[in-house]
Amino acid sequence: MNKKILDLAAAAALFGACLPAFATEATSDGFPPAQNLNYYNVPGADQATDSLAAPLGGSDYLFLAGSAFTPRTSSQTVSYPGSGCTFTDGAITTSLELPNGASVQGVRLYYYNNASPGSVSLFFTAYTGDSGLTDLLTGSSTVATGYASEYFPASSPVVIDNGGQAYVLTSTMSAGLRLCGMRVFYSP
Amino acid sequence: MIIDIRKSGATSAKALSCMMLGLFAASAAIPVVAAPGDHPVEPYAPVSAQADQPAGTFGYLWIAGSTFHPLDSTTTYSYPGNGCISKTGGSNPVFAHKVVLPQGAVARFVRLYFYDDSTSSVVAYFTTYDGAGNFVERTSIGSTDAVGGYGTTLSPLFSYEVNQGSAPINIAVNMGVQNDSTLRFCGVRIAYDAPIIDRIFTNGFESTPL
Repeated sequence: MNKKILDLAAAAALFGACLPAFATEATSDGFPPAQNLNYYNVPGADQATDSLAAPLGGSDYLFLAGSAFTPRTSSQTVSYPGSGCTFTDGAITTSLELPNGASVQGVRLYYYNNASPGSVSLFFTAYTGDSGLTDLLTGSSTVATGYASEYFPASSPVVIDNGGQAYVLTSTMSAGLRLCGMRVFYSP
Repeated sequence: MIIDIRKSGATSAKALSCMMLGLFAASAAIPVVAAPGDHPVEPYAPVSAQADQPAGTFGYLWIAGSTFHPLDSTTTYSYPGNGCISKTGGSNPVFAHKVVLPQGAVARFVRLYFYDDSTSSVVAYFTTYDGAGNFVERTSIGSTDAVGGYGTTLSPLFSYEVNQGSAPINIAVNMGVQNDSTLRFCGVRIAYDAPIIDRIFTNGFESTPL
């Protein structure tokens, strides 16, 4: 019994001695600051690669920040509230360039909504250049507690055909909301 | 051809000579295998309206018009739909989008997609820069009046080897003087030869026995 107490005391002393070192490393070695606790992650199948359920053959992500999207018209307002997020009262787009033959499983939408009405929407669209278009995937945000992300799976995997069409990610949003990014989940 | 090695020495020597000659002639007729950095033999086909789409030859990068942005904040533009944009005003008619191709790829064609029911035209330029004030328009292609509006045109065959370390690439699009949706830019498709990557001897031979 006495030995157990002594062992516990020794462990506590060692742990206590290490605490200042941890704190120093966290600030001096370039560790990122504490993550935003006001972030809600809605789990999805795109995160299976972190687990034993990872699909055979591997999967990849292409993560594009909201601030990399550009306005589709000049008549809309665009602002930058920070942290890679963008607000606009119109539509913003970016070209999606993936390896030919890649298979898109879905898209995770990153956004900010702090109790505002409305939603942030995503569109994954293919254009043929001659007026043809197909919305391959659409989704709208549902969380309103600050920063959040949600995964929207494709109804069936979308096989990229770079010779056949152009692929575009588009977002629209209600007032007060922000697009912070889209992460495409695909198999090469 | 089957050689019977059980035949007499003279006969089999003659047969072997014939075989060697045949192999030599055959090897001379086979193109030399491309090495890393080699440019593929060109042209693949006579330049025609469809020269950028022989089966299984090219890689493609297709960028929709709706993802381009104006170079000048005073330029106004609209989205008439279907992935196309139209200029509606401003003194600078140029829109741009970056082009990111694999290192060592060779760009061959630019195909322009447009809607042109106007007296003006839209012209796309495959342009490289050096960051020091210089640029080169490697090729260009303009729209033509198209029946029904939508159309596509193909640039001449060109050859530009991508070097990401020395020259960024943009597609610059000049929308001309037309300020309405009778002229629309719907995108470009770049056809390119993928780089030849030979990784077999990248790290040399094994230094230790397996």
